[in-house]
Amino acid sequence: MTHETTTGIDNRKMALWVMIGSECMLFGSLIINYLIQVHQIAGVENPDLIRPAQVINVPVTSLSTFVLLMSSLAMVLSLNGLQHGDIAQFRKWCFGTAGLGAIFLGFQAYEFTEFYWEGLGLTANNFGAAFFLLTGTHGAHVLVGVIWLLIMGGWSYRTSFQSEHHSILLEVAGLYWHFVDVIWIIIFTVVYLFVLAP
Amino acid sequence: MEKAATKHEKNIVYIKIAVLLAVITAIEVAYPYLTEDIKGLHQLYMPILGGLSAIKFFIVVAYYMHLKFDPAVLKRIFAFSLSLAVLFVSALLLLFEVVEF
Amino acid sequence: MTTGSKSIILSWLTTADHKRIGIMYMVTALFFLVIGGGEALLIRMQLFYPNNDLLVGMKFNAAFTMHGTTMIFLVVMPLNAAFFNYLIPLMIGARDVAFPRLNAFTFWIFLLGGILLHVSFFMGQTPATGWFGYANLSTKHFLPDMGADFWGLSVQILGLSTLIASVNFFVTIINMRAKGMSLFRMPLFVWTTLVTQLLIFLSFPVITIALLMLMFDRTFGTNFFNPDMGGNVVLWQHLFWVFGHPEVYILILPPMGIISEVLPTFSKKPLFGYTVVIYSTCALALMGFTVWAHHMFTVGMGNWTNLVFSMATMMIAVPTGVKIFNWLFTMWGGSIRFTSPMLYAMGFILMFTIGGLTGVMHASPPIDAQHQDSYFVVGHFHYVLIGGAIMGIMAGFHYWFPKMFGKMLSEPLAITQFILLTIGLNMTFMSMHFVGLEGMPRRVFTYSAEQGWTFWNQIATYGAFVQGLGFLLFFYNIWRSLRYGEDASADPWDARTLEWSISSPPPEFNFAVEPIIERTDDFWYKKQKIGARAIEQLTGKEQVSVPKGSYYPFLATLALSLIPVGFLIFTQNQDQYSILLISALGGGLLFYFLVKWAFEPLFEE
Repeated sequence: MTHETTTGIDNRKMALWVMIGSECMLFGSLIINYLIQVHQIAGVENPDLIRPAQVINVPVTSLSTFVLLMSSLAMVLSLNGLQHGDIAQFRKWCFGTAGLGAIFLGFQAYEFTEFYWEGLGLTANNFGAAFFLLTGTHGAHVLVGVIWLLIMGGWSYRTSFQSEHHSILLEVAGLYWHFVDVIWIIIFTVVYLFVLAP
Repeated sequence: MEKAATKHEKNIVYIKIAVLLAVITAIEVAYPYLTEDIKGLHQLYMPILGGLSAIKFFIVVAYYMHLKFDPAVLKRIFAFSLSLAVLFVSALLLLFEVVEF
Repeated sequence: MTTGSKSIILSWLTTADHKRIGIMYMVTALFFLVIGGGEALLIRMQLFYPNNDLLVGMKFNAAFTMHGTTMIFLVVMPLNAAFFNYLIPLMIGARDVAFPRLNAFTFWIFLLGGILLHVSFFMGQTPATGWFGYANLSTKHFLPDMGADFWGLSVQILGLSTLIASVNFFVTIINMRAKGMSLFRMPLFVWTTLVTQLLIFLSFPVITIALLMLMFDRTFGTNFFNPDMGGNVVLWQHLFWVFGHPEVYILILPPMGIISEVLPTFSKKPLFGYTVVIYSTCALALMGFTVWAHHMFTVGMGNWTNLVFSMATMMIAVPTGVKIFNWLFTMWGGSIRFTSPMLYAMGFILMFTIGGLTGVMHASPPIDAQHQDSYFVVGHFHYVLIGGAIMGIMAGFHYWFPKMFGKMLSEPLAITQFILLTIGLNMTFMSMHFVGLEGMPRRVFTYSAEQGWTFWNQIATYGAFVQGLGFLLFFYNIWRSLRYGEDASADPWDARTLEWSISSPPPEFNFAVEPIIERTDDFWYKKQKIGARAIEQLTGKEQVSVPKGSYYPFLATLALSLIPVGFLIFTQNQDQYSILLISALGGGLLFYFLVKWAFEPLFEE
């Protein structure tokens, strides 16, 4: 039993947009912390300190960025399928999105271990700590999204799943997924591309 | 079969947008290597890259997240939150002298 | 519903009814009010004599830390939340909030946060950082015990609770209004609540990150706030106050909304300048985000920065002043009834204005440099928090108590308490201004007789006990009224808003027939036309299906409680990473319950 809402927007959809508003400030805090730590480390003269340019690997991350970008395409294709009652298209791309997300997480795991072997652990310096906090929080968001989509995809095999009633739920999951993606668009520029600044 | 037709149309639009996003990303990644050759691009590095990522950001929000076609109240929630976050980040950038006036 | 004490407990444990959740918030908050008030009395007793030794050193630090944290996060915010929960759906003509079970979840994790904070007492590891937890006071180097860990984790959990609730209430107000209840027909309390939720979901993420950084520093050995290793302690101050200043408005805006309901009712006039009050509320919220650094004028940010933040701060006086005049003009020419809610509302205006005036003084950096860290500041913010927030909440409590519990409070007792509270708070906090100007710093546990601060400190302590006596009377009044009080009618105050159109206490489904709203103060005008009794008959008959209860919010909270437990044990044994499995287990269980919850239908099938 669902009530008609005042604005005609589903409650869950609006709640997710409010949450996205909140997340803007959350990631804003993480990004500003990262920028401040990088700025401060730049002013310290110590040859042992590991600096962004030494560890950040733009080509590899470009690949993972591309993967995440394409996962957003997969997400809209999946939702489009469900909204038009095409369960096969929905399922294929829903699992596709989750899979691409998982590949992205794999890249991140690879990156973190690489950094660790190069001597940039969590506690090595504040640039590293801020980096891990920022990208780690983002990675945790991706992980939540992957699980969410897997549940949505898996649910579609049950009889309780009705495409006309539940496409709104996939839409909400999709909004979350895209937001995690756009946050990465910012992180990719600020954390990775800016390192190559001449 | 009207339904299938609109579905197909939408799929095409989404794929076109993805191509556009991929192209912008390619430019972003290639950009640092281009700056070695062309002098003028040098100083504008951060503004141009920031601008490109902002374009990508808004394309995804407007089309993939459907915000362009959503009711005004959702647009306002997002616009207000995002502006506040940008204001907050900019203020701290100035306060910590990461960016000089 | 079955009877028996076991099933009653279960029905409260699993409830998703916003009214019951509101009552649970209120009871819990009043319990913490006793604890926080007791801490305040201890602090005042210590400062009664020069060189007193009742509560010295770290014990004193712990007392004021717990007092501040408790009063802000466990008393004023949940009391506001109690009113949100109970009243918002009633005022907008809805049957419940947008997400009833999520609402239960926010209450349970709020309770978890409160309990976690107070467990530190029993472990002898009480937080002693101040409610602001300034790094590097709060880093491992200076506070090696678990106090700051308890503080950080419980504030994190309380923040999570507040954040979830803010999303819930924001969506409820935008999306669950009755037919015809457009935004500019909403009661003012609904408006201030809406703006408060906006402030919450935009400011709390910042403290979330700051606390996460502090936790990483303390638990995993990072150095964000350790200057020896390139950390920056001023960063904590910025992050904290970017949250902390909007937090001030989060505390005060709902009470402002409350008195904007009380004043028109007892003046028999509509609120003067309804739309202007709304716009000034919005302006206050917006400005609240642009003034955080006025808490840091003496940090050394430079003249230009101080100037910008000083000007922004002074401008806050404009919308505040507008509101105060609107309240005064609401009373102007009205036929005023001096009931206890009205007295509290009038007390609010007067006391809050005094606190506001000293606030404008602090906005000037040179003056602030003199006041910084003195008792003058303590006097200032207690005027706005007790004279403002608590007065407003008391107005709301006495106003809505008949609605919530179906019993009238004793007016003579309530008015006596009002007089005691007003006298007491002026004795305590006015004295603090004087002793502050004489140079007494805050957060010190004693002073010597030669400093000449004894007299005003003793007045302040007497005042604190007068306030305490007032609160004793308050609790007696509640007890007496629940036991012997006369039954309240649906509309005992001849009020203006929708919640008074249904019985006291309201039925579980609130409105049998969903109301249709034609203008502001719709109920009032309908009463003039067809009479209250007719409206009551119109709204109170048939049975409507309500959300059924759920075990999952409570179970999810139990699972969540394992996460801080794991971290707390880990902080004392930092080489044993296996301890973190406790947290991981908690996270896994939490996830499991959330999924089960998501697939559980809200209504009976």
